[in-house]
Amino acid sequence: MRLKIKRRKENLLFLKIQHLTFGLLMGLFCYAQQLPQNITINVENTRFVAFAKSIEGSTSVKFYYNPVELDSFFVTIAAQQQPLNTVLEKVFANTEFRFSIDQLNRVFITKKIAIQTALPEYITRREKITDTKINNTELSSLLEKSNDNLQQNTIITFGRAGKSGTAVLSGFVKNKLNAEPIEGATVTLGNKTVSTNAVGFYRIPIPTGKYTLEITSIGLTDFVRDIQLYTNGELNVELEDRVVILKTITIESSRRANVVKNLEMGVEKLNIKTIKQMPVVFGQADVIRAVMALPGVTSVGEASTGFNVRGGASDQNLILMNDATIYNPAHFFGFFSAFNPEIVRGIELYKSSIPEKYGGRLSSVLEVQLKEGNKKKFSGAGGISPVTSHLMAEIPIKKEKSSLLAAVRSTYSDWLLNVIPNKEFRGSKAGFYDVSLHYSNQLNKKDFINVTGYISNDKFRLGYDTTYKYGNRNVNFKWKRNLDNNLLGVFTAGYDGYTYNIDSDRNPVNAYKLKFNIHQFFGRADFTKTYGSIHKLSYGANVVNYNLQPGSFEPNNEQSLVVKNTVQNENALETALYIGDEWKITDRLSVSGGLRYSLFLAMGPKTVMKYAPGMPLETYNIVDSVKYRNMQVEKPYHGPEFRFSARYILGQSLSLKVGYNSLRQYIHMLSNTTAISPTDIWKLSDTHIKPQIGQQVSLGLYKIFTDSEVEISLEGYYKTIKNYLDYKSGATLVMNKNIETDVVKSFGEAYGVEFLLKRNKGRLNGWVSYTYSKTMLKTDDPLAAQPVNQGKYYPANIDKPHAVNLISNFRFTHRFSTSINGVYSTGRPITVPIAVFTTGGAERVLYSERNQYRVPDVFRLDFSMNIEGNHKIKKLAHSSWTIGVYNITGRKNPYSVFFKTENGAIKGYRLSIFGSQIPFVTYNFKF
Amino acid sequence: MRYSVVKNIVLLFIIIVTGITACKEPFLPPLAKSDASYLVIDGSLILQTDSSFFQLSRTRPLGSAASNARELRAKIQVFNASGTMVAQSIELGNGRYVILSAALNASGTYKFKIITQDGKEYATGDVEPYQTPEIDSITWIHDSLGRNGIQFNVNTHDPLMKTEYYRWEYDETWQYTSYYFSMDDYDPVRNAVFQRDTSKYMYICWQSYKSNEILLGSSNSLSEHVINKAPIRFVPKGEDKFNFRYSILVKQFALSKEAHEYWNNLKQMTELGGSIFDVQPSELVGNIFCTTDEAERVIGFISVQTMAQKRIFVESREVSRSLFVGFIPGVCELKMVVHPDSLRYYFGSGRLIPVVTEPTPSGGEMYFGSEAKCVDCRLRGGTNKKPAFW
Repeated sequence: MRLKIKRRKENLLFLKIQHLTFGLLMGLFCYAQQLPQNITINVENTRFVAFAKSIEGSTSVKFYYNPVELDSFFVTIAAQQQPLNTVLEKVFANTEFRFSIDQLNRVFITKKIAIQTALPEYITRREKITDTKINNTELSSLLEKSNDNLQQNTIITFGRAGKSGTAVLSGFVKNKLNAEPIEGATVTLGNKTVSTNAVGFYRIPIPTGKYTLEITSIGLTDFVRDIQLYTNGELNVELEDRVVILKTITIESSRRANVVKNLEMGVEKLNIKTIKQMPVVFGQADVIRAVMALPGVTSVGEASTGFNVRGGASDQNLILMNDATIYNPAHFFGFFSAFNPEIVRGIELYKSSIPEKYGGRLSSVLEVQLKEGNKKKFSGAGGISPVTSHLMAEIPIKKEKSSLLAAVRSTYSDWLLNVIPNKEFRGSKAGFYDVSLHYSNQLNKKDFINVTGYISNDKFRLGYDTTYKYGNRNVNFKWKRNLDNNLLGVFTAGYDGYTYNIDSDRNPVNAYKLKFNIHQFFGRADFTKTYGSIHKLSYGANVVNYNLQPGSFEPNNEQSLVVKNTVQNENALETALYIGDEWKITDRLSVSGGLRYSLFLAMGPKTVMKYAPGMPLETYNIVDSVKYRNMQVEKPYHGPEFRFSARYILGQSLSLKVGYNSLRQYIHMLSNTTAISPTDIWKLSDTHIKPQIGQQVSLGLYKIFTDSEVEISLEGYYKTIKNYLDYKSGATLVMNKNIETDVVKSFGEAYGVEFLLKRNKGRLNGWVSYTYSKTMLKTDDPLAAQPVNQGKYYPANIDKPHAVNLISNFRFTHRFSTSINGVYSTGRPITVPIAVFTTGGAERVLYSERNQYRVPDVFRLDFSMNIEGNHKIKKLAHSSWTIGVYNITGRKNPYSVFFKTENGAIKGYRLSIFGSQIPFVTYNFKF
Repeated sequence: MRYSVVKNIVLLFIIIVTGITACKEPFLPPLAKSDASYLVIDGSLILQTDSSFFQLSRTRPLGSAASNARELRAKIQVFNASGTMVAQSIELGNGRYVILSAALNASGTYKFKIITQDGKEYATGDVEPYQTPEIDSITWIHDSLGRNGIQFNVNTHDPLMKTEYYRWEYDETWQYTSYYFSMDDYDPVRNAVFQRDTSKYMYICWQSYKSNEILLGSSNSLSEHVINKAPIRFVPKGEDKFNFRYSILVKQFALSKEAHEYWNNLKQMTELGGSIFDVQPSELVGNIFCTTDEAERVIGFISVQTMAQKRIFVESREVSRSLFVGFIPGVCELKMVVHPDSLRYYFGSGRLIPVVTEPTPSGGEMYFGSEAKCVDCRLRGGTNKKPAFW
């Protein structure tokens, strides 16, 4: 029953009346009394339209009706100074039409059933003496059944009047579409504001009385309702995805969480919608590449998924996918990230205020949050591009309670390698696949279970010779329990693994297989407890058991003369206890403080070399070795980590935040290539390799304009890194039994300023960011025989002082939008030849001190168009096309510069990975 | 609209197929200002061999000629383990020095000292001598799978179970011909064509090429001290090296682990490169240090070892015909000179070189000639003197 648009604005109103679930307009109907309005009219056999117009012309009355229904309705009436309702009663006497008039003199004409514009004085329909539970789904189903029930739901009443004291309103907030719990939704009842916890649960104790309940969450429609609370009540609410209205004035709740109000700083959140809008090479939405477009995040080059946060190394990022540590987030030389975009709900990157529950990496935590899986109906999505395809299905197992999400992704990219003109790549093959499974089940009101599994596999063969394989393996089990109404416990246990191996079989005598493995078992217990809206306490413990097999080199066939050689395994146990509190001291001032204490035990079985005291760690200085038994502690490290941040609201839309944090890292990636390569090895701290220790202070100013449409933030930071690992010249990292002899301890210093201008809503949305940053290193090892650059500070490989990112999306219609991404940054530092010399009959180059020069600046512009099919709800499948061009200007951005001796003469080259325009197209569908 | 999208995709597909490539283009960075002029020592002491050659030079700015940087009037001295000088260099000019090393053997360590003309002294520590194992064989295979051409490999093993690291050099020689066999010569004095002296034939030539790349191998990961098919030289299709006969001489040097590291480092930094996962350049540290100024960098690694060498020949009948390179038709024309008066014009000026003389039906003679590039094989870089080993 949709009324045809008569007046645009009012039509909106009408729609809302129909869906009274969102009783935004209830206030308008609060008073039953209508003003008397006397009418004088004299018409005969006049169309109703004309009749209505003539009344509207002489009074402030406005009519709302479906013109189709009243098209053949003719009015004959004569009235002299009569009240409107008397006139209308006469007009509609003995017809099927009903009318109602509200206190604003609006007349609603409906067929058969009249709209009730006022509330009854007393609502008792759902009254119970005990606690009351209402789901808004029930409310809406009531609404759909009969309009008679409309008034039942305008005020939600819990209990019977008369009692006074304190009552508690609690419940779950879920997504209407798929019953996924919504974490972090802001729930405001009267003057109290809380957030939903990890299972979407909220609880607000409050004196009995009448309040407005407001539930908001980013990207979802607001839920606003009047609540009459006499006893404890439970209200479960389902929120719908917000329909993007292209040109509209959105009234934003002033209570909505935003960058100014949030306590956390240096946190970037992106939802999958934003990620999917960004043009990427090969057209498939890429989580890691979206992260790289954020201020403060850089990468060494285009084909690298290793990213650097505020001057940290790429191994200093903890990448968690639903708590599973992903050691290698890259597929296919780094052209794709390891995450299937269809299963990702969003990402959060912590650059500065890292929650105390996380630790073990210095720079950042990247949380990749997966979808829960639709618990209401079977649905799915997929995408096809010339290089890869992916498919995802969400299967409800028990309606509203449990579901299974399964996704696969694969490539057929061999053809890509075969079109590369370079002969070296002939016969090459490259492929990958990944599989994700996610099961979630709500056992009862208190217990929730999640199981997540992930496998990725990459295989590539360069030429006819050597095959590289690598993959991630992750599985974990999570149990969330509402221990009591204010305390949520989350218990997680799981396994994370990373493995790579290299096979060479070209020459049977030298045929070998090189293997590397990381196995890590972890368990964690995390508790959050809220004390009203003043304190939010979190505490817990986690433990990780590492087992690294840093290398085994063995024959690949029977003729092979390769001797089996293994680098001894490394074992360690990392445990940590943490406690933290978010404290709202005043409305303006909030602080958050946390302490994490971590203990790392490097354990046997292991043989540890002893070096002559005071001598450089070189193999020729080995004087003895010590054997450790299984489980015997080889070396303990422990220390506190502090997390602190404070926010002070300076004005209506302006706040100031400060933060300090310290972190410790016990596992290190060793790599002397510039980009992350799949064969980089990881190393645990031990007797000789000390843990890396980082500290960071940061200061930020945040401002929002015009109803949080535009936000601006300015953040500065300074950080230091102790025991950073750099490499001696000519270091061998693979199969090195005494790796401590090839690394040097360095000290790192990084500082910078990040500016961000962001628009979240409207036709044009996106952000512009500018980052100034410096990262300097110096050899800090008194025993180092040859300190890098004579022990002076030198720029780190990732030092790119100026970086500008532009991410923008413009929606022309609901079905057509375009995105433009722009990137500019200073070129990264390189070491260049400063002189030549002749040896062995050929010219060779002599390199400068490390990182004294830079590759040319990087500039790139990407463009994409998203074309969606029609939005009919009852379609079998919804499809969309993404067409775009990566690197529109075709600029040959240098990835590396290198010098080769060819035919006895030196030649300099620069290598661009994507040195021309790369068009892409992807077809996506949803069902 | 859907239709046009489909059309676009077909188009995009074509663009993708042709467009995707990582590209590599020449690049010269803004030249670093460096007056670095470090001593470079290139050479090794080859025991039980008549002469060990050393080249002394200086590092020089990019783009400057090698001839500007030769180190003259220096001395290289060799000391045995007990500190007695056992040999001293003889300067050959242009920065080349020779040490007569026939009498030196692998019984003890050696030390080197270099004194340059500016009075600075450079020295090594004790250098351990290596007895280089004999080369077992040089094998080759026609690789038609990837790059079409012939791959030469070396095989060796060390019965003494000592050598794990190797460096190789090679010297290749091949025979080729010019397009026409010039059997006649021209005498400008007599203005006459006469039969060419066999010693002046320029039809068959031999050309040589010395390796200048760093060739390394190691058996350290194997259970036996064996090198199996270490790649030495790849000759791609398109070079006319196999048309008649080809020969390669491989010289093998045993290396210490440190020497191998030095060479490998140098190779990594200057020969490889251009892949996505390149190793960063790093400092080059050899085994020679300046004793007068400790901070001064010195480039070079002097190792001490005997040398093993082996030569093989590849006959044209052994290789696939697909590797033969023929002459391009039409480039070399045989021109006829009939009138004796024209002889001076053509042959005297060198416009043509006589090839053959034929009688005319009228009883006279007609002379055939062709351009020098089609007749004189030496113009393509070789020599018409047959090498001694051929």
